Amino acid sequence: MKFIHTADIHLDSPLTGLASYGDAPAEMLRTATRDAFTNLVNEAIEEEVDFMVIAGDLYDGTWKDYNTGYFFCREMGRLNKADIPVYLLFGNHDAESEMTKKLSLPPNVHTFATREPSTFRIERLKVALHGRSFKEAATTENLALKYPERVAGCLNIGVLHTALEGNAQHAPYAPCSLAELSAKGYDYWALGHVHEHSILQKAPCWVVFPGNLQGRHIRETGPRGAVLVTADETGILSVERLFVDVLRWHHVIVDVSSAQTLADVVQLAGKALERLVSENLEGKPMSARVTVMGRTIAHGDLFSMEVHLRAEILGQAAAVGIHKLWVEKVRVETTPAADPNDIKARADAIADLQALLEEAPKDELLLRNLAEELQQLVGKAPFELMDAVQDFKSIRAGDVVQIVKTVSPSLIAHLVKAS
Amino acid sequence: MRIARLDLLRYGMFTDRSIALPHRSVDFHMIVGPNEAGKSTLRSAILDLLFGIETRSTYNFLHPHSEMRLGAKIEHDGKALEFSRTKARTRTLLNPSGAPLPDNVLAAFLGSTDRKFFDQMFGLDHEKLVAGGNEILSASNDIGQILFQSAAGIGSLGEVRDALEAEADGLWARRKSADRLYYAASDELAIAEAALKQATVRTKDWVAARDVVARLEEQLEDSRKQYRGLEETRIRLERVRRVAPILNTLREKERELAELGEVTVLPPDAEKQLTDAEIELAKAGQEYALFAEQVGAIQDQLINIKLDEQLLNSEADIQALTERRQQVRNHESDIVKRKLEIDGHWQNVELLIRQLGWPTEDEVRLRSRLPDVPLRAAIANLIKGHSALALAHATAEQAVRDKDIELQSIDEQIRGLPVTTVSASLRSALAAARALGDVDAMERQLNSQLASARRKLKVARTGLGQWDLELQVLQNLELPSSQEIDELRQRQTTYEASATTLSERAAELRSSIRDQVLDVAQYREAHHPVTWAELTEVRGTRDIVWQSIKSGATPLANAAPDYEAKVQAADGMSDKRHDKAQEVSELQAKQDSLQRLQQQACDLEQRIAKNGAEQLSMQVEWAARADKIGLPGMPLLAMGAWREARESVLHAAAAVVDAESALDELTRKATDAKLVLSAALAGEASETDATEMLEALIIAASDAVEGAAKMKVRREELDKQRVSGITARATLEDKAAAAARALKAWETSWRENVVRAGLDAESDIGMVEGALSLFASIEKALGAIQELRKTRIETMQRDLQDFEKEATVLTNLLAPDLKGQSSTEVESEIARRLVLAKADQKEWERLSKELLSKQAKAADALGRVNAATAGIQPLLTLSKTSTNDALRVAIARSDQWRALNEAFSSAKRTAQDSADGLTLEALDAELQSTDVSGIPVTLSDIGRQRDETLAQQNALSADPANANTELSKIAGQDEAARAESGRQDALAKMANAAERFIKVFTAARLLRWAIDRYRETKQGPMLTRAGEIFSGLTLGSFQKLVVDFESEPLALEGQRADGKLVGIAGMSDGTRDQLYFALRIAALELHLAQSQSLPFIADDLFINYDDARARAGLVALSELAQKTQVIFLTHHDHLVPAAQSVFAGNVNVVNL
Repeated sequence: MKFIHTADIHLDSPLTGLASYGDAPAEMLRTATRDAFTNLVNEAIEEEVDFMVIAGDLYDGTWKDYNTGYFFCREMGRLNKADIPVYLLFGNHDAESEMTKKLSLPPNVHTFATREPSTFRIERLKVALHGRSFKEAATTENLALKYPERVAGCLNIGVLHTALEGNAQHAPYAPCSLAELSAKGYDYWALGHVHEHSILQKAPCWVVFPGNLQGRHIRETGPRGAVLVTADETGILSVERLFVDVLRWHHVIVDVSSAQTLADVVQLAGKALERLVSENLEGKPMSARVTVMGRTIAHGDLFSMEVHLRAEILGQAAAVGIHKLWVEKVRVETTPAADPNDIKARADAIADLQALLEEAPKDELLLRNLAEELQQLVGKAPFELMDAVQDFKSIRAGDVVQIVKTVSPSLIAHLVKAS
Repeated sequence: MRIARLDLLRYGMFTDRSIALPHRSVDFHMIVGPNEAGKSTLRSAILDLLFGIETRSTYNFLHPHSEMRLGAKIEHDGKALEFSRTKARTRTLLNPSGAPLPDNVLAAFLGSTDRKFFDQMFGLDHEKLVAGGNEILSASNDIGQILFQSAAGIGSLGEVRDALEAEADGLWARRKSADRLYYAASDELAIAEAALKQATVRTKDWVAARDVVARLEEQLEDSRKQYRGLEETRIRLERVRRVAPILNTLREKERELAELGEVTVLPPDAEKQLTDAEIELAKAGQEYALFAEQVGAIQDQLINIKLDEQLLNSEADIQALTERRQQVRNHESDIVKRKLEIDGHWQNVELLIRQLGWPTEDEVRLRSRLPDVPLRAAIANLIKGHSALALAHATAEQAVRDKDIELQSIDEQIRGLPVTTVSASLRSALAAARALGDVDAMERQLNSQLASARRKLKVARTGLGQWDLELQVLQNLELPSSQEIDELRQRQTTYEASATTLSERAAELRSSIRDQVLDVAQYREAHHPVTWAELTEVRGTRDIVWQSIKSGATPLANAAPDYEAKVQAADGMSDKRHDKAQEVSELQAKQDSLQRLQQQACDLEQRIAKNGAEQLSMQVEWAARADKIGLPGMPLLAMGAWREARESVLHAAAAVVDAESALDELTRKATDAKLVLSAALAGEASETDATEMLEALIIAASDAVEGAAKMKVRREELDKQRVSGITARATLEDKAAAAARALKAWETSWRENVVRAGLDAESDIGMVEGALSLFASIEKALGAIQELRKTRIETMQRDLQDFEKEATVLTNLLAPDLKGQSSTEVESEIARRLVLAKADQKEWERLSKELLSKQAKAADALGRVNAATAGIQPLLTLSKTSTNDALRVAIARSDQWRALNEAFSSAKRTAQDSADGLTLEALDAELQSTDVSGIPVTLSDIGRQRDETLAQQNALSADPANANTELSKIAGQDEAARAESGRQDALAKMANAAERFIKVFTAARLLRWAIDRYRETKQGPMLTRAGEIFSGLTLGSFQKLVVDFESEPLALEGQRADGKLVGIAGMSDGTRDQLYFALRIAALELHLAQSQSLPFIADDLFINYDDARARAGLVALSELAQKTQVIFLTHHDHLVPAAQSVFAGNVNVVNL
């Protein structure tokens, strides 16, 4: 028998951090999470799986559009036509969503109850699925403890939306330990909530996070999808990944220590992007963050011509992967080639300026004035930018020391170049 | 560092030109040359000398790149280095003897200065001066920018700052504008949010839409049900009305069938069958008689034809004989021609035999005389092998001669090699010197450390201010403890704080008193209150008049008017006082308050005086203490910092001592190593110079050791070559002997084979090659003769014999009557007879075929007669009749029954078709239960009700359709998701703009702040010094430089002798250039105070100056020349006297 285990679909959740520009494949990716889910349903039908398990977070909790629910029903209808039952467990996001309770699902979709753990049995396959949905988002009790005993003579699958014990990246919902899960004596734990794929434990008691279906920002890099599980009544035979994502996120780190000029940096970045495209054998669209780093003579130019650098790198991206490659951001994290002691040794006006700038983080009046001016921007910005722009939080707190410390060496490098 | 001598060895237009720049107390050197004399070359040469000749140097027009060379002697801190510079990738520095110097040997003289920085800081020319003046103007009134640009020698600070500010402004500013990236993205965000709101369908919207659809569909279904009921009734009544007449017809036909009675039913086509059979019988009988007659006639013709079977059977043999006759037709004439060809060949053979010198014989004998093939092949092989053997023999002998010459050469080389050895002492001295490592680098490092330590000490000493005491004194000072100083400072701070607080309070009180006085005066002015004193005074005046009247001093009549006036005034005043009682009270309160304030002020003054006295006493006490310590005049507040400065000085002094001892140690070791190595080299009779650097000695020693080793290797190699040469010669001699033997053997074999071939034993190779060719030709001709006889003539004769034989056989078999005739005539006659026999056979076959056809047609006609008779028989049997007429009557009855039965079935079918699926019985029952006459009225009634229901349905059906349309709009569309994606897109753009804004805005702000601070720290010393230089340059037209603190940003101004201030914009171009020059020189002097000195190159600076101003410029440079070397390049001869005058004749003038 074969079944698909998926979780954290977050239908219609947007891709964040992508600013569109001329050659970016923007329109193609507006519905990425939907397209990934459709791909998954296609796979299920083509593979003729026996059933599908969804371990929570079908929707984004705050997302209000009912069309999303309708779309889900439509896809479930396709599985119904192919006689593929679906076992659906609601996670914290689903509990928060107003759609969850009102949506009339096709008859092949079986939802786990919220009040207490329930069990679905598939007699034909000798399979028992145990699970309990979230009633409310902030569920912090250990749900696994009350899951029923294993059903003898069946393949037992536990379905659970959990952060396990202390996953720092995710809210600590329905915490439990691997030992507690193992103690239940199930054959397979189909988990959800953590977005990274991991197989925490294998036979006799498999514990698997399939990862989320589609990476949505730069913190979710690499291939994404569900898992295809092959089993018989004696246990699990194999767990394979099914990559159904429609856009893949990559962080391209380019060492530009050898670069003398901005053009050299662009050329190095272009080569890195070319390598990325040539390694992309599946030909899926990609979103790349390009971070240039290293100690380089070009640091001053990179600081002053960051906008130009971005335009050039976008050009490189268009050249190597038109309509397939989206540059999410170009980050300049280089350091100046001349170390502060080299500048100091010049003993000239630039050296004097450097010495003065080193004192800037101690000048209360300067810091206060700068913070007040920057707060004008932060104060009126939409709330979502607080997460998107790293410096906003410190500016709001009136702390601009780090900004000053970061900008000063770049400014000096820029002046050295200009001189 | 300074340049003591510059050697332009091969550079630009110069060849072996040396320029001496000897050290003087004022290190100024004037290099004079007309334009094109090479001043620019000189400036470039100094840069190339110090930092390497540029890859694409343009100074190669006389000496190519590979030969370009510069040299110099440079000095620093009492050390000197002589070197030359070549153009190459590495090792471009050489010592005077041409040995390479380490690439970093100049580091000790140049510090960390690079080419760009040196050119920027220590180079100034007319263009830079003018550009600097312009930049001062464009920096307008920003002193910070002017100072920074002048000191850094760059002019782009303003551009940098403007670019940063412009970029920040393009990203975000407080004022919203669609041109700013952040706001453009923000507008996109608003659009996307509106689209999201528009596209989002809330769950409750969907639930409401679904409920509306359900309710409307229920109402519609009720209406449809009612409609269906009416329709059913209408259909039933119409059915009854439709089927009633059909049912009546059905009953009528049933009755007629019963009346016809029992009938034998014959097939519907019985009548036709009977008629057809009678016609067929007549036609078939007639045909049979005709065909029987034709069969008889054909049989008679066949009997008359006779066939010759034997002739026909032999057809193949006759054709074969005819073909063979065709083949042999020309054979006899051909045989005659071939014999003539054979004669021709033989004549040719006889010719060849004569060339060989052999006798003319018959063909058989000639064949036996020809040499056989193996012998001819052996002779050919000998001819082929001869040249190779002869060549091998000659080559082997030449090789032996060559080897002899080679051995002779090796012997000469060995004799010519010198005998060299190196002493162990040189080897050990070299090893010891190398073990010291890179002495120069270490020395430079230590020197650098020492210089750094000394600079630090010097800098530290500046912290001591006027109390800069000897180190020993500093060391032994007994300073008060830091705790004690802190307490004293605390006390002083307390006094100062009290004084400040008290003074502020006093000032506040004075201000309050002034306010109060003013308040009283203003109050009095506004309200004119009448005080008791005023009233008393008016009453007193009145009473005086009264007393005067009472005493009679003044007659009543005279005094009355005055008295009345006084009484009125006093009364009026009294009334007024009564009316203004409140104001009077208020005024009094204000005056009381004023008195209190004055009292407080008085108290405060006393407290201030007391605090001041205590503070003064403490200061006196501290001054006495400072004198005692040995630091007269040291302010208490400065004491802490001075203590720290003293610590720094002591620390720095210790560092200097450490660095000096490390350097001494290194120098000692290096000197020892140099002595030992130098002595060892002298022992080897090497040419050594005791003044060489250690590095050069090491290289010389290495060369000696390596040279000796190379000689030894060379000798060993030559010995090896000699031994192997002798062995090789013996082998070559053996090879030569073998080659001679092989040639001899060949000659013997040659003679034997030539004789065997029937040729003269002494025949040479050419003759034998000719004979071999003749042998081949004879053999070819004999072959051709034999070929003609065997394959042509004999074959044709055999064919002619075969033809005769076959003709005889056929004559005997088929035509004995032709015996005796020629084979050709026999063949012709037999062929003619065969043609006639074949024509008879063809006619016989045609008649046989026609006979068979006629016989078949006769049989067919007879069959048809029998079939027609049999066809009528079943009808006769079925109708139980025996004649055709009786059969016709039976057929007529059967047809009548069939017609009735058909009419009945048709009526039944019609009834069933209109019965809507009901049985005939049910239809009957339905007809019986219905009043047929009332049906039209009932139907009309139902029609009306149906129309009403339909109208209701129509009205209802539009609503669910609309509601469904609304519901179906919610079909899983992705507009909201797309709008949200667009929203994130806009947010990302805003984030990008904001991130960049934070960077560039901060950078712009920091730059402004830093330049402001730079101004604060530098404007004092730099402007003072620059002001002095500027005053000199302008011949006192300007006295000094001042800052206009009232303007924002602060502006720089020049102050005239009469105190008048002139802004930069108000200065002439020339004055601005002078100002820039003054600032550059001041900045350079400040720079030199804290870092290593380097030569300052001034290139034609004063070209626009008159003599007086140029002289002033030279004065400014003379002051700089006391701090560092100044090389002044000019093409103005007239500056020389000016310089001589400024430098009192003590100036080095070099004419190019």
